[in-house]
Amino acid sequence: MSTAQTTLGEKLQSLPKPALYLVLILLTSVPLLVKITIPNKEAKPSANFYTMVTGTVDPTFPAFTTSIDATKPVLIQTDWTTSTRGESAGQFKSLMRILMIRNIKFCFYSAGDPQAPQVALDYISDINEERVKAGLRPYERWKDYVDAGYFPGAEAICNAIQNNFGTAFKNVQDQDAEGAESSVFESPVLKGVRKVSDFSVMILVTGSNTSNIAIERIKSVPMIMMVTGVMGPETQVYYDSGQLKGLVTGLKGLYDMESLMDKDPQFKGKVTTLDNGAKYYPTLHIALLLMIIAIIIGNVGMFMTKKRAA
Amino acid sequence: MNETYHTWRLTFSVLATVGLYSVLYRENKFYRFFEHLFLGLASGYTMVALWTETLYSQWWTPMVGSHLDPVTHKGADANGYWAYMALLPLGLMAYLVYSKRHNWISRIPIGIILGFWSGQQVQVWWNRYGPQISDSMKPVVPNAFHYVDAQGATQFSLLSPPATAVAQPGAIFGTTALSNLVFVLTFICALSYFLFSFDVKNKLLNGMTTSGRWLLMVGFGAIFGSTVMMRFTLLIDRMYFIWIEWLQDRILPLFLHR
Repeated sequence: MSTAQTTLGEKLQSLPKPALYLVLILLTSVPLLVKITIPNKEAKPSANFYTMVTGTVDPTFPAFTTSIDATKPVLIQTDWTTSTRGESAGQFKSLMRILMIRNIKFCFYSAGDPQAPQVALDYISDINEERVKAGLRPYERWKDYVDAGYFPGAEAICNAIQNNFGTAFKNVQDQDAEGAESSVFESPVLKGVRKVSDFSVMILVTGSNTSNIAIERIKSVPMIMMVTGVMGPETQVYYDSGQLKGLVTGLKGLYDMESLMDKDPQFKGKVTTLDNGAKYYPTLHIALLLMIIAIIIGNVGMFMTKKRAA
Repeated sequence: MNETYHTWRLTFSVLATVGLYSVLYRENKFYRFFEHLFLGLASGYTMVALWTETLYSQWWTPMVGSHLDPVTHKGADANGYWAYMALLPLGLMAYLVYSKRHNWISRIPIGIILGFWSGQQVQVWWNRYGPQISDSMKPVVPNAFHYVDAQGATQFSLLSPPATAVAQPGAIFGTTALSNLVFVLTFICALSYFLFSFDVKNKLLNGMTTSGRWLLMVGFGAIFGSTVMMRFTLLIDRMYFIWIEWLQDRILPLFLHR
Protein backbone atom coordinates (compact mmCIF):
# COMPACT_ATOMS: atom_id res chain seq x y z
CA MET A 1 0.00 0.00 0.00
CA SER A 2 2.74 2.40 1.00
CA THR A 3 4.73 1.85 -2.22
CA ALA A 4 1.83 3.17 -4.25
CA GLN A 5 2.19 6.50 -2.46
CA THR A 6 5.95 6.73 -2.97
CA THR A 7 6.80 9.69 -5.16
CA LEU A 8 9.41 9.67 -7.91
CA GLY A 9 11.68 11.89 -5.79
CA GLU A 10 11.56 9.40 -2.92
CA LYS A 11 12.18 6.50 -5.30
CA LEU A 12 15.23 8.26 -6.72
CA GLN A 13 16.60 8.66 -3.20
CA SER A 14 16.11 5.05 -2.25
CA LEU A 15 17.48 3.02 -5.14
CA PRO A 16 17.93 -0.60 -4.02
CA LYS A 17 21.50 -1.11 -2.76
CA PRO A 18 21.93 -4.64 -4.25
CA ALA A 19 21.07 -3.19 -7.69
CA LEU A 20 23.69 -0.46 -7.27
CA TYR A 21 26.30 -3.01 -6.15
CA LEU A 22 25.47 -5.19 -9.15
CA VAL A 23 25.91 -2.27 -11.54
CA LEU A 24 29.17 -1.35 -9.79
CA ILE A 25 30.52 -4.90 -10.13
CA LEU A 26 29.56 -4.93 -13.80
CA LEU A 27 31.17 -1.56 -14.42
CA THR A 28 34.37 -2.59 -12.66
CA SER A 29 34.54 -5.90 -14.50
CA VAL A 30 33.61 -5.30 -18.15
CA PRO A 31 36.19 -2.53 -18.84
CA LEU A 32 38.95 -4.85 -17.61
CA LEU A 33 38.23 -7.14 -20.56
CA VAL A 34 38.77 -4.45 -23.18
CA LYS A 35 41.76 -2.23 -23.79
CA ILE A 36 41.04 1.45 -23.15
CA THR A 37 43.74 4.11 -23.18
CA ILE A 38 43.31 7.22 -21.09
CA PRO A 39 45.38 10.29 -21.94
CA ASN A 40 47.59 11.26 -19.03
CA LYS A 41 49.54 14.29 -17.87
CA GLU A 42 52.01 13.21 -15.21
CA ALA A 43 51.80 15.00 -11.88
CA LYS A 44 54.93 16.80 -10.70
CA PRO A 45 55.40 14.71 -7.49
CA SER A 46 55.28 11.49 -9.55
CA ALA A 47 57.70 12.93 -12.14
CA ASN A 48 60.09 13.93 -9.36
CA PHE A 49 59.90 10.45 -7.87
CA TYR A 50 60.60 9.02 -11.31
CA THR A 51 63.59 11.29 -11.87
CA MET A 52 64.99 10.38 -8.47
CA VAL A 53 64.97 6.62 -9.12
CA THR A 54 65.62 6.53 -12.87
CA GLY A 55 67.88 9.49 -13.51
CA THR A 56 65.66 10.37 -16.48
CA VAL A 57 64.50 13.97 -16.51
CA ASP A 58 60.99 14.38 -17.83
CA PRO A 59 60.89 17.17 -20.44
CA THR A 60 57.77 18.59 -18.77
CA PHE A 61 59.71 19.29 -15.57
CA PRO A 62 63.25 20.18 -16.69
CA ALA A 63 63.97 22.20 -13.54
CA PHE A 64 64.14 19.05 -11.46
CA THR A 65 67.39 17.23 -12.12
CA THR A 66 68.36 15.46 -8.88
CA SER A 67 68.65 11.70 -9.09
CA ILE A 68 70.15 9.03 -6.88
CA ASP A 69 73.68 7.69 -7.05
CA ALA A 70 73.18 4.29 -8.69
CA THR A 71 76.35 2.91 -7.10
CA LYS A 72 74.91 3.25 -3.59
CA PRO A 73 72.23 0.88 -2.23
CA VAL A 74 68.63 1.92 -1.62
CA LEU A 75 66.80 1.40 1.68
CA ILE A 76 63.16 0.36 1.24
CA GLN A 77 60.57 0.29 3.99
CA THR A 78 57.73 -1.81 2.64
CA ASP A 79 54.63 -1.70 4.84
CA TRP A 80 51.93 -2.90 2.47
CA THR A 81 50.27 -6.27 2.20
CA THR A 82 47.54 -7.74 0.02
CA SER A 83 44.91 -5.52 1.68
CA THR A 84 46.13 -2.62 -0.50
CA ARG A 85 47.24 -4.79 -3.42
CA GLY A 86 45.18 -2.74 -5.88
CA GLU A 87 47.48 0.24 -5.55
CA SER A 88 50.60 -0.83 -3.66
CA ALA A 89 51.41 -3.97 -5.69
CA GLY A 90 51.61 -2.02 -8.94
CA GLN A 91 53.70 0.67 -7.29
CA PHE A 92 56.09 -1.87 -5.79
CA LYS A 93 56.40 -3.78 -9.07
CA SER A 94 57.24 -0.65 -11.05
CA LEU A 95 59.82 0.31 -8.42
CA MET A 96 61.39 -3.15 -8.57
CA ARG A 97 61.52 -3.10 -12.36
CA ILE A 98 63.33 0.25 -12.27
CA LEU A 99 65.87 -0.72 -9.59
CA MET A 100 66.58 -4.07 -11.24
CA ILE A 101 67.07 -2.70 -14.74
CA ARG A 102 69.45 -0.09 -13.30
CA ASN A 103 71.29 -2.77 -11.26
CA ILE A 104 70.73 -0.85 -8.04
CA LYS A 105 71.14 -2.94 -4.90
CA PHE A 106 68.52 -2.61 -2.20
CA CYS A 107 67.72 -3.66 1.35
CA PHE A 108 64.11 -3.88 2.44
CA TYR A 109 62.38 -4.25 5.78
CA SER A 110 58.96 -3.62 7.25
CA ALA A 111 57.91 -1.63 10.28
CA GLY A 112 54.21 -1.86 9.61
CA ASP A 113 53.11 -5.46 9.09
CA PRO A 114 54.74 -8.86 9.75
CA GLN A 115 53.41 -10.16 6.43
CA ALA A 116 54.93 -7.34 4.39
CA PRO A 117 58.45 -8.83 3.88
CA GLN A 118 56.96 -12.08 2.53
CA VAL A 119 54.61 -10.15 0.23
CA ALA A 120 57.60 -8.17 -1.06
CA LEU A 121 59.56 -11.40 -1.66
CA ASP A 122 56.61 -12.86 -3.62
CA TYR A 123 56.46 -9.85 -5.91
CA ILE A 124 60.25 -9.79 -6.38
CA SER A 125 59.91 -13.43 -7.43
CA ASP A 126 57.21 -12.46 -9.97
CA ILE A 127 59.42 -9.72 -11.42
CA ASN A 128 62.33 -12.15 -11.61
CA GLU A 129 60.17 -14.58 -13.61
CA GLU A 130 59.29 -11.73 -15.94
CA ARG A 131 62.98 -10.82 -16.28
CA VAL A 132 64.00 -14.37 -17.10
CA LYS A 133 61.31 -14.54 -19.80
CA ALA A 134 62.68 -11.27 -21.23
CA GLY A 135 66.22 -12.73 -21.30
CA LEU A 136 67.46 -10.65 -18.37
CA ARG A 137 69.34 -12.08 -15.39
CA PRO A 138 67.24 -12.70 -12.28
CA TYR A 139 67.95 -10.45 -9.30
CA GLU A 140 69.67 -12.53 -6.64
CA ARG A 141 68.88 -12.45 -2.95
CA TRP A 142 71.97 -11.63 -0.88
CA LYS A 143 74.01 -10.47 -3.88
CA ASP A 144 71.56 -7.87 -5.22
CA TYR A 145 69.08 -7.41 -2.40
CA VAL A 146 68.56 -8.41 1.22
CA ASP A 147 65.44 -8.97 3.28
CA ALA A 148 65.92 -7.46 6.75
CA GLY A 149 62.54 -8.72 7.94
CA TYR A 150 59.99 -7.16 10.22
CA PHE A 151 60.55 -4.76 13.11
CA PRO A 152 57.63 -4.29 15.49
CA GLY A 153 57.30 -0.69 16.63
CA ALA A 154 57.85 1.67 13.71
CA GLU A 155 58.83 4.48 16.10
CA ALA A 156 61.64 2.46 17.67
CA ILE A 157 63.19 1.19 14.44
CA CYS A 158 62.97 4.55 12.65
CA ASN A 159 64.65 6.21 15.63
CA ALA A 160 67.34 3.53 15.70
CA ILE A 161 67.95 3.81 11.94
CA GLN A 162 68.43 7.55 12.24
CA ASN A 163 70.72 7.32 15.29
CA ASN A 164 72.88 4.40 14.20
CA PHE A 165 71.96 2.16 11.29
CA GLY A 166 74.80 -0.25 12.09
CA THR A 167 73.43 -0.87 15.56
CA ALA A 168 69.79 -0.95 14.44
CA PHE A 169 70.47 -3.75 11.93
CA LYS A 170 73.33 -5.34 13.92
CA ASN A 171 71.52 -8.59 14.60
CA VAL A 172 69.60 -8.79 11.33
CA GLN A 173 70.34 -11.86 9.27
CA ASP A 174 69.36 -13.05 5.82
CA GLN A 175 70.09 -16.13 3.72
CA ASP A 176 73.52 -15.85 2.13
CA ALA A 177 74.56 -17.33 -1.23
CA GLU A 178 74.91 -20.80 0.39
CA GLY A 179 71.51 -20.55 2.04
CA ALA A 180 72.95 -20.07 5.55
CA GLU A 181 71.78 -17.28 7.83
CA SER A 182 74.41 -14.53 7.96
CA SER A 183 74.58 -10.93 9.04
CA VAL A 184 73.16 -8.63 6.36
CA PHE A 185 76.29 -6.49 6.70
CA GLU A 186 78.26 -9.37 5.17
CA SER A 187 76.22 -9.17 1.98
CA PRO A 188 77.47 -7.24 -1.06
CA VAL A 189 74.39 -5.02 -0.64
CA LEU A 190 75.33 -3.54 2.74
CA LYS A 191 79.10 -3.83 2.48
CA GLY A 192 80.48 -0.56 3.85
CA VAL A 193 77.10 0.70 4.99
CA ARG A 194 77.15 1.89 8.60
CA LYS A 195 74.97 5.01 8.58
CA VAL A 196 71.60 5.63 6.97
CA SER A 197 73.26 8.39 4.95
CA ASP A 198 75.31 5.68 3.22
CA PHE A 199 72.14 4.86 1.26
CA SER A 200 71.34 6.92 -1.81
CA VAL A 201 67.66 7.26 -0.88
CA MET A 202 65.05 5.83 1.45
CA ILE A 203 61.83 4.70 -0.23
CA LEU A 204 58.63 3.96 1.65
CA VAL A 205 55.93 1.87 0.01
CA THR A 206 53.06 2.04 2.44
CA GLY A 207 49.32 2.02 2.94
CA SER A 208 49.46 3.13 6.56
CA ASN A 209 50.68 6.01 8.69
CA THR A 210 54.19 4.61 9.07
CA SER A 211 54.98 7.34 6.54
CA ASN A 212 54.45 9.97 9.25
CA ILE A 213 56.60 8.04 11.72
CA ALA A 214 59.48 7.79 9.25
CA ILE A 215 59.33 11.49 8.35
CA GLU A 216 59.31 12.43 12.03
CA ARG A 217 62.47 10.47 12.75
CA ILE A 218 64.65 9.90 9.70
CA LYS A 219 66.36 13.01 8.34
CA SER A 220 69.84 12.01 7.20
CA VAL A 221 68.87 10.55 3.84
CA PRO A 222 66.63 11.86 1.03
CA MET A 223 63.20 10.30 1.28
CA ILE A 224 60.59 9.47 -1.36
CA MET A 225 57.31 7.63 -0.98
CA MET A 226 54.72 5.49 -2.72
CA VAL A 227 51.44 5.74 -0.83
CA THR A 228 47.83 4.73 -1.31
CA GLY A 229 45.11 7.17 -2.37
CA VAL A 230 43.84 7.42 1.21
CA MET A 231 47.27 8.50 2.41
CA GLY A 232 47.72 10.93 -0.48
CA PRO A 233 46.27 14.18 0.92
CA GLU A 234 48.09 13.93 4.25
CA THR A 235 51.38 12.94 2.60
CA GLN A 236 51.21 15.66 -0.06
CA VAL A 237 52.06 18.32 2.54
CA TYR A 238 55.44 16.67 3.15
CA TYR A 239 56.18 16.84 -0.54
CA ASP A 240 55.14 20.49 -0.76
CA SER A 241 57.39 21.43 2.15
CA GLY A 242 60.35 19.60 0.64
CA GLN A 243 60.48 16.84 3.27
CA LEU A 244 59.85 14.38 0.46
CA LYS A 245 61.74 14.62 -2.82
CA GLY A 246 59.13 12.67 -4.75
CA LEU A 247 55.72 11.14 -4.18
CA VAL A 248 53.63 8.54 -5.98
CA THR A 249 50.02 8.63 -4.82
CA GLY A 250 47.48 5.91 -5.45
CA LEU A 251 46.45 4.68 -8.86
CA LYS A 252 47.06 8.03 -10.55
CA GLY A 253 50.64 8.04 -9.29
CA LEU A 254 51.11 4.47 -10.49
CA TYR A 255 49.75 5.33 -13.94
CA ASP A 256 52.13 8.31 -14.01
CA MET A 257 55.06 6.01 -13.25
CA GLU A 258 54.03 3.51 -15.92
CA SER A 259 53.45 6.25 -18.50
CA LEU A 260 56.89 7.71 -17.81
CA MET A 261 58.50 4.25 -18.03
CA ASP A 262 56.68 3.64 -21.31
CA LYS A 263 58.24 6.80 -22.78
CA ASP A 264 61.72 6.03 -21.45
CA PRO A 265 64.11 4.08 -23.74
CA GLN A 266 65.80 2.80 -20.56
CA PHE A 267 62.76 0.57 -19.97
CA LYS A 268 60.60 0.50 -23.11
CA GLY A 269 60.83 -2.91 -24.75
CA LYS A 270 63.03 -4.34 -21.99
CA VAL A 271 60.54 -4.78 -19.15
CA THR A 272 56.80 -4.48 -18.75
CA THR A 273 56.07 -0.79 -18.60
CA LEU A 274 52.27 -0.58 -18.73
CA ASP A 275 50.88 -2.94 -16.09
CA ASN A 276 48.35 -2.57 -13.24
CA GLY A 277 48.10 1.20 -13.57
CA ALA A 278 47.21 1.09 -17.26
CA LYS A 279 44.78 -1.78 -16.66
CA TYR A 280 42.92 -0.28 -13.72
CA TYR A 281 42.93 3.45 -14.48
CA PRO A 282 40.25 3.44 -17.24
CA THR A 283 38.03 1.19 -15.11
CA LEU A 284 38.37 3.60 -12.19
CA HIS A 285 37.04 6.41 -14.41
CA ILE A 286 33.97 4.35 -15.28
CA ALA A 287 33.36 3.48 -11.61
CA LEU A 288 33.66 7.15 -10.68
CA LEU A 289 31.18 7.99 -13.41
CA LEU A 290 28.67 5.66 -11.75
CA MET A 291 29.23 7.42 -8.43
CA ILE A 292 28.72 10.85 -9.98
CA ILE A 293 25.50 9.66 -11.66
CA ALA A 294 24.29 8.17 -8.35
CA ILE A 295 24.99 11.46 -6.55
CA ILE A 296 23.11 13.42 -9.24
CA ILE A 297 20.12 11.04 -9.09
CA GLY A 298 20.02 11.30 -5.29
CA ASN A 299 20.17 15.10 -5.39
CA VAL A 300 17.51 15.35 -8.09
CA GLY A 301 15.31 13.11 -5.95
CA MET A 302 15.93 15.31 -2.90
CA PHE A 303 15.05 18.52 -4.76
CA MET A 304 11.92 16.93 -6.22
CA THR A 305 10.82 15.81 -2.74
CA LYS A 306 11.53 19.24 -1.21
CA LYS A 307 9.71 21.02 -4.03
CA ARG A 308 6.69 18.77 -3.58
CA ALA A 309 6.68 19.31 0.18
CA ALA A 310 6.84 23.10 -0.32
CA MET B 1 51.60 -30.72 -9.39
CA ASN B 2 52.78 -27.20 -8.73
CA GLU B 3 50.39 -25.79 -11.34
CA THR B 4 47.49 -27.80 -9.89
CA TYR B 5 48.29 -26.50 -6.42
CA HIS B 6 48.47 -22.96 -7.76
CA THR B 7 45.08 -23.34 -9.48
CA TRP B 8 43.46 -24.66 -6.29
CA ARG B 9 45.05 -21.86 -4.27
CA LEU B 10 43.66 -19.24 -6.64
CA THR B 11 40.25 -20.92 -6.63
CA PHE B 12 40.15 -20.84 -2.85
CA SER B 13 41.16 -17.14 -2.96
CA VAL B 14 38.26 -16.45 -5.32
CA LEU B 15 35.88 -18.20 -2.90
CA ALA B 16 37.25 -16.10 -0.06
CA THR B 17 36.80 -12.91 -2.09
CA VAL B 18 33.20 -13.79 -2.96
CA GLY B 19 32.60 -14.79 0.66
CA LEU B 20 33.79 -11.47 2.00
CA TYR B 21 31.85 -9.44 -0.57
CA SER B 22 28.70 -11.44 0.20
CA VAL B 23 28.22 -9.18 3.24
CA LEU B 24 27.07 -6.50 0.78
CA TYR B 25 23.90 -8.51 0.35
CA ARG B 26 23.44 -9.31 4.02
CA GLU B 27 25.27 -10.71 7.04
CA ASN B 28 25.65 -14.48 6.46
CA LYS B 29 27.55 -17.54 7.64
CA PHE B 30 29.61 -17.76 4.44
CA TYR B 31 30.95 -14.25 5.15
CA ARG B 32 31.50 -15.02 8.86
CA PHE B 33 33.51 -18.14 7.98
CA PHE B 34 35.94 -16.29 5.76
CA GLU B 35 36.16 -13.33 8.13
CA HIS B 36 37.26 -15.63 10.96
CA LEU B 37 39.57 -17.50 8.63
CA PHE B 38 41.35 -14.26 7.72
CA LEU B 39 41.59 -13.14 11.34
CA GLY B 40 42.94 -16.50 12.44
CA LEU B 41 45.50 -16.60 9.64
CA ALA B 42 46.68 -13.05 10.32
CA SER B 43 46.98 -13.64 14.07
CA GLY B 44 48.83 -16.93 13.63
CA TYR B 45 51.17 -15.48 11.03
CA THR B 46 51.91 -12.46 13.22
CA MET B 47 52.75 -14.60 16.25
CA VAL B 48 55.17 -16.78 14.29
CA ALA B 49 56.68 -13.76 12.51
CA LEU B 50 57.24 -11.99 15.82
CA TRP B 51 59.42 -14.88 16.94
CA THR B 52 61.22 -15.70 13.69
CA GLU B 53 61.68 -12.16 12.40
CA THR B 54 62.18 -10.27 15.63
CA LEU B 55 62.54 -12.03 18.95
CA TYR B 56 64.82 -14.79 17.66
CA SER B 57 67.18 -12.55 15.70
CA GLN B 58 67.01 -9.39 17.81
CA TRP B 59 66.81 -10.87 21.30
CA TRP B 60 67.44 -14.60 21.60
CA THR B 61 70.43 -14.99 19.28
CA PRO B 62 72.46 -12.07 20.71
CA MET B 63 71.53 -13.16 24.24
CA VAL B 64 72.84 -16.71 23.87
CA GLY B 65 75.82 -15.46 21.86
CA SER B 66 75.38 -17.34 18.62
CA HIS B 67 75.19 -14.30 16.36
CA LEU B 68 77.77 -12.99 13.90
CA ASP B 69 78.83 -9.52 14.94
CA PRO B 70 79.24 -7.32 11.84
CA VAL B 71 81.91 -5.20 13.51
CA THR B 72 83.97 -7.75 15.42
CA HIS B 73 83.19 -10.57 12.93
CA LYS B 74 82.85 -13.00 15.80
CA GLY B 75 80.87 -16.06 14.86
CA ALA B 76 78.90 -18.64 16.76
CA ASP B 77 81.27 -18.60 19.71
CA ALA B 78 80.65 -14.91 20.42
CA ASN B 79 79.88 -14.07 24.03
CA GLY B 80 76.21 -13.69 24.81
CA TYR B 81 74.67 -10.47 26.07
CA TRP B 82 73.00 -12.05 29.06
CA ALA B 83 71.76 -8.67 30.26
CA TYR B 84 69.06 -9.09 27.59
CA MET B 85 67.54 -11.68 29.96
CA ALA B 86 66.23 -8.77 32.06
CA LEU B 87 63.90 -7.86 29.17
CA LEU B 88 61.94 -11.11 29.52
CA PRO B 89 60.34 -10.46 32.96
CA LEU B 90 59.83 -6.84 31.94
CA GLY B 91 57.93 -7.92 28.85
CA LEU B 92 55.97 -10.58 30.70
CA MET B 93 54.84 -7.98 33.24
CA ALA B 94 52.64 -6.47 30.53
CA TYR B 95 50.53 -9.65 30.48
CA LEU B 96 49.60 -9.19 34.13
CA VAL B 97 47.05 -6.70 32.84
CA TYR B 98 44.74 -9.73 32.73
CA SER B 99 45.16 -10.37 36.48
CA LYS B 100 42.72 -8.58 38.77
CA ARG B 101 45.12 -8.74 41.72
CA HIS B 102 48.42 -7.92 40.02
CA ASN B 103 47.38 -5.76 37.08
CA TRP B 104 49.22 -2.75 38.59
CA ILE B 105 52.49 -4.45 37.63
CA SER B 106 51.61 -4.10 33.93
CA ARG B 107 51.88 -0.33 34.35
CA ILE B 108 55.66 -0.61 34.76
CA PRO B 109 56.49 -1.68 31.17
CA ILE B 110 53.70 0.55 29.86
CA GLY B 111 55.20 3.48 31.82
CA ILE B 112 58.66 2.79 30.36
CA ILE B 113 57.26 2.74 26.82
CA LEU B 114 55.29 5.94 27.45
CA GLY B 115 58.40 7.56 28.89
CA PHE B 116 60.44 6.74 25.76
CA TRP B 117 57.60 7.93 23.56
CA SER B 118 57.06 11.19 25.46
CA GLY B 119 60.76 11.95 25.46
CA GLN B 120 60.82 11.82 21.67
CA GLN B 121 57.82 14.02 21.12
CA VAL B 122 59.41 17.50 21.10
CA GLN B 123 61.97 16.49 18.48
CA VAL B 124 59.41 14.45 16.56
CA TRP B 125 56.93 17.32 16.46
CA TRP B 126 59.54 19.72 15.18
CA ASN B 127 60.84 17.27 12.56
CA ARG B 128 57.32 16.81 11.28
CA TYR B 129 55.91 20.34 11.40
CA GLY B 130 59.02 22.56 11.43
CA PRO B 131 59.69 22.35 7.68
CA GLN B 132 55.98 22.85 6.99
CA ILE B 133 55.80 26.00 9.13
CA SER B 134 58.93 27.30 7.46
CA ASP B 135 57.52 26.50 4.01
CA SER B 136 54.30 28.40 4.83
CA MET B 137 56.20 31.70 4.64
CA LYS B 138 55.73 32.07 0.91
CA PRO B 139 56.42 35.22 -1.16
CA VAL B 140 53.22 36.69 -2.58
CA VAL B 141 54.74 39.49 -4.68
CA PRO B 142 56.18 38.59 -8.10
CA ASN B 143 59.82 39.60 -8.63
CA ALA B 144 60.51 38.16 -12.10
CA PHE B 145 59.03 39.15 -15.47
CA HIS B 146 61.77 37.88 -17.79
CA TYR B 147 63.13 34.42 -18.45
CA VAL B 148 65.90 32.92 -20.54
CA ASP B 149 64.65 30.47 -23.17
CA ALA B 150 66.38 27.31 -24.42
CA GLN B 151 68.22 29.34 -27.09
CA GLY B 152 69.62 31.73 -24.46
CA ALA B 153 67.44 34.71 -25.44
CA THR B 154 65.71 36.80 -22.77
CA GLN B 155 61.93 36.84 -23.07
CA PHE B 156 59.19 38.79 -21.28
CA SER B 157 56.49 36.92 -19.36
CA LEU B 158 53.87 38.48 -17.10
CA LEU B 159 52.55 35.21 -15.72
CA SER B 160 54.90 32.23 -15.97
CA PRO B 161 57.71 31.02 -18.25
CA PRO B 162 57.27 27.90 -20.42
CA ALA B 163 58.54 24.57 -19.11
CA THR B 164 61.55 24.73 -21.42
CA ALA B 165 62.84 27.98 -19.86
CA VAL B 166 66.16 27.95 -17.98
CA ALA B 167 65.48 27.68 -14.24
CA GLN B 168 66.19 30.81 -12.18
CA PRO B 169 66.53 30.15 -8.44
CA GLY B 170 64.41 32.53 -6.36
CA ALA B 171 62.39 33.85 -9.32
CA ILE B 172 58.72 34.44 -8.44
CA PHE B 173 56.59 34.81 -11.56
CA GLY B 174 52.97 36.01 -11.57
CA THR B 175 51.28 32.61 -11.42
CA THR B 176 53.57 31.40 -8.62
CA ALA B 177 52.82 34.57 -6.61
CA LEU B 178 49.08 34.09 -7.17
CA SER B 179 49.31 30.43 -6.16
CA ASN B 180 51.28 31.43 -3.04
CA LEU B 181 48.66 34.07 -2.19
CA VAL B 182 45.87 31.47 -2.38
CA PHE B 183 47.94 29.21 -0.13
CA VAL B 184 48.66 31.94 2.44
CA LEU B 185 45.01 33.10 2.55
CA THR B 186 43.79 29.51 2.93
CA PHE B 187 46.38 28.90 5.64
CA ILE B 188 45.38 32.00 7.64
CA CYS B 189 41.62 31.39 7.26
CA ALA B 190 41.90 27.70 8.27
CA LEU B 191 44.06 28.67 11.24
CA SER B 192 41.68 31.45 12.29
CA TYR B 193 38.83 28.94 12.41
CA PHE B 194 40.59 27.30 15.35
CA LEU B 195 42.02 30.45 16.93
CA PHE B 196 38.80 32.44 16.93
CA SER B 197 36.31 29.75 17.80
CA PHE B 198 34.80 31.98 20.48
CA ASP B 199 32.21 34.72 19.92
CA VAL B 200 33.72 36.99 17.27
CA LYS B 201 32.17 40.42 16.69
CA ASN B 202 34.67 41.74 14.14
CA LYS B 203 33.28 41.31 10.61
CA LEU B 204 36.68 40.58 9.06
CA LEU B 205 37.53 37.89 11.60
CA ASN B 206 34.03 36.49 11.27
CA GLY B 207 34.44 36.23 7.51
CA MET B 208 37.83 34.59 7.93
CA THR B 209 36.57 31.94 10.33
CA THR B 210 33.60 31.21 8.06
CA SER B 211 35.91 30.97 5.04
CA GLY B 212 38.22 28.77 7.10
CA ARG B 213 35.34 26.38 7.80
CA TRP B 214 34.44 26.20 4.11
CA LEU B 215 38.04 25.70 3.08
CA LEU B 216 38.41 22.90 5.62
CA MET B 217 35.29 21.32 4.12
CA VAL B 218 36.94 21.49 0.68
CA GLY B 219 40.00 19.75 2.17
CA PHE B 220 37.88 17.05 3.77
CA GLY B 221 36.06 16.61 0.46
CA ALA B 222 39.39 16.03 -1.30
CA ILE B 223 40.37 13.47 1.34
CA PHE B 224 37.00 11.73 0.99
CA GLY B 225 37.37 11.70 -2.80
CA SER B 226 40.81 10.08 -2.54
CA THR B 227 39.44 7.51 -0.11
CA VAL B 228 36.59 6.60 -2.46
CA MET B 229 39.03 6.29 -5.37
CA MET B 230 41.19 3.96 -3.34
CA ARG B 231 38.25 1.76 -2.33
CA PHE B 232 37.18 1.55 -5.97
CA THR B 233 40.72 0.58 -6.94
CA LEU B 234 40.68 -2.24 -4.39
CA LEU B 235 37.40 -3.49 -5.86
CA ILE B 236 38.77 -3.23 -9.40
CA ASP B 237 41.83 -5.23 -8.32
CA ARG B 238 39.60 -7.96 -6.86
CA MET B 239 37.57 -8.05 -10.09
CA TYR B 240 40.80 -8.29 -12.08
CA PHE B 241 41.87 -11.15 -9.86
CA ILE B 242 38.61 -13.05 -10.39
CA TRP B 243 38.02 -12.45 -14.10
CA ILE B 244 41.56 -12.24 -15.48
CA GLU B 245 44.04 -13.95 -13.13
CA TRP B 246 41.73 -16.80 -12.15
CA LEU B 247 39.08 -17.28 -14.86
CA GLN B 248 40.90 -16.15 -18.02
CA ASP B 249 44.46 -17.21 -17.16
CA ARG B 250 43.79 -20.33 -15.06
CA ILE B 251 40.37 -21.91 -15.52
CA LEU B 252 39.50 -21.28 -19.19
CA PRO B 253 42.79 -22.78 -20.49
CA LEU B 254 41.98 -25.99 -18.59
CA PHE B 255 38.81 -26.44 -20.65
CA LEU B 256 40.07 -24.99 -23.92
CA HIS B 257 43.19 -27.22 -24.04
CA ARG B 258 41.24 -30.44 -23.53
